[in-house]
Amino acid sequence: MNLWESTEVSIDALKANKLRSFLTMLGVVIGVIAVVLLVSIALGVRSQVTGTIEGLGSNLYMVFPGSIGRGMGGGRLTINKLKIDHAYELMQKSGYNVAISPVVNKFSTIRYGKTSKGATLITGVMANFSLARNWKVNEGAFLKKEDIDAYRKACVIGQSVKHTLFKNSNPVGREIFIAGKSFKVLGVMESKGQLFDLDLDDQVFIPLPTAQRIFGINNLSYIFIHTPRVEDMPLAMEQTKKILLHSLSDDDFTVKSQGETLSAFLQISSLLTIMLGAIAAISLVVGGIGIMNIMTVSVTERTKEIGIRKAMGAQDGEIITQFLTEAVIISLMGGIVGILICYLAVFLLSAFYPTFTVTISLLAITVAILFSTFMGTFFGVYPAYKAGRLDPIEALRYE
Amino acid sequence: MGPSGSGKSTLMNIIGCLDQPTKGTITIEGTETSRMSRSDLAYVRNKKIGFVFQSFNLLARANALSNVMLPFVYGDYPKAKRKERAMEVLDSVGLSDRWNHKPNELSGGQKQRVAIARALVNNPAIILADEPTGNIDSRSGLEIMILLQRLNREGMTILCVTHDLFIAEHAEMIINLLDGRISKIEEVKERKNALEELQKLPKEEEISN
Repeated sequence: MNLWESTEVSIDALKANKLRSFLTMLGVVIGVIAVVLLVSIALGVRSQVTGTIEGLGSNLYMVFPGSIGRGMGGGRLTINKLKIDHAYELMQKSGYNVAISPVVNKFSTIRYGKTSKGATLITGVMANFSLARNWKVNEGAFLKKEDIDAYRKACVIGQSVKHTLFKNSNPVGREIFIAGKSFKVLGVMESKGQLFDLDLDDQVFIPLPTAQRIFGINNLSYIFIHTPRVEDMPLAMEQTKKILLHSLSDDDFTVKSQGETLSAFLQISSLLTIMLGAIAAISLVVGGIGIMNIMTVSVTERTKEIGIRKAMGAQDGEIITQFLTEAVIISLMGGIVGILICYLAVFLLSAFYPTFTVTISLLAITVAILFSTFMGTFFGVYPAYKAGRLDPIEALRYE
Repeated sequence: MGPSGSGKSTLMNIIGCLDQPTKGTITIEGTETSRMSRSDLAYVRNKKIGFVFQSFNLLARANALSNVMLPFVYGDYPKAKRKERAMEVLDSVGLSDRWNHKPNELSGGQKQRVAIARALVNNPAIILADEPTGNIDSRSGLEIMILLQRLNREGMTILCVTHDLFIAEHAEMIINLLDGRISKIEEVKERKNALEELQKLPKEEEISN
């Protein structure tokens, strides 16, 4: 009996019990969907976040207040001692042609005409923000030095803010209300996408001094520092630390580069991907046990048939091959159907949520197919072996 | 021949390499079956022995042709000639026009003829028939006996198990069993001819009247 013959016999047997074969397959289908989809989503989020972080600029580092992110459990609550004067000091004393861009963040409600929008990130910045952050203006112009120095109520809005408040009309030159105060729109930023669950385009930029005044705050959220040459980054970071240590203690601030943030994130996301995959794999194992269960039932039910085949001269191995082929066909088909459903799911998902980009990872597919085939073999071996070793006369007498 | 429990079927299963004797030996072409491996026994069943069972034992999902071809699946008969050979055997049992029928679309007698065709297809050394007429009406039973007698005349060795003296008298020799032992071996003096016996039966129209 060659492979083709045993495949034919197996398909015939599977067809004879369509519903049962389908339900057994379903176990594998669900397992494969779980593995492929979860791993793909995890990898998709990872590449998206990686892209966003890299989009921030690889020659960018930041000064945070407090000692956040310094190893595990370093996030002690400290008073924010980072002030605008520290930024000015850095501007005066730093070398390497760095651009120092202090930032203040605050969430607030904004309004244009009758349309209002809650919890929008208001970011107080200096004129060099656009350059330091590598984030250009799409329409109009960015805030200028005069706007900053004169505490002007002017703003530049992100793409999401534009869509919410202005739909398709041109916002440049219009007046919007931020925290109850009227601001003139100077321009619209180009789209920057998501960072984790934060929509970076859902942001309004206003002059930093204006922000500190209307929100009544005198410290900084963080300082962006842009080094024109990537090679200068380590030295520039060292220098920044030294300058700040003149007036602040080691616990009062943290200097951190994007690369460090990225590697920390990648580490977490790898763990998360493996964990998700492992959880999903459990459902595949459950599917495999389903195969074993059904194959065992099938062997018992077809004892007579096995007896007939043995009387006609079937070798033990040929019977084993037949049942093993059946198990592998079920799991392989389940794998293929599962992957097709994954493609359909991703297609629908991206049709309804265009911002949510998930690409099915080839790795996940390969792993799912290999794993499901392995499961068919692994969980099919015992029932198949049982069938092969049946005593011919016992099998023939079985009713 | 023998009453129930006399060991007819057990003896036949042992000869057919389906079962192993607890005592004594069976020698096939010089080799004791108890010395053969499971694989060797399967080979013997495939090549040397043709089984005909009381309950037909056809594969329910397969048609007559596929059932006849079943022994080929486990042998090395040349692929190209399999179908031709199977049709030839089906023709010899008078069922070539029914090759595409599944067992549940055939009468008892026809099923048994498919089973005989399946037993013949690999040119076995012996045909072992266990109560071949036990599950069918007497007319179809005689048709089976006609077929077996014809094969026997053509040179096939046939070992047939029955508890029915009428069937037994179609053979050349009767071996009587009782409680697992041979009690009597006798040659049949007035051997019955199944074809003549069939003509003696009342015609089908008479029965319906």
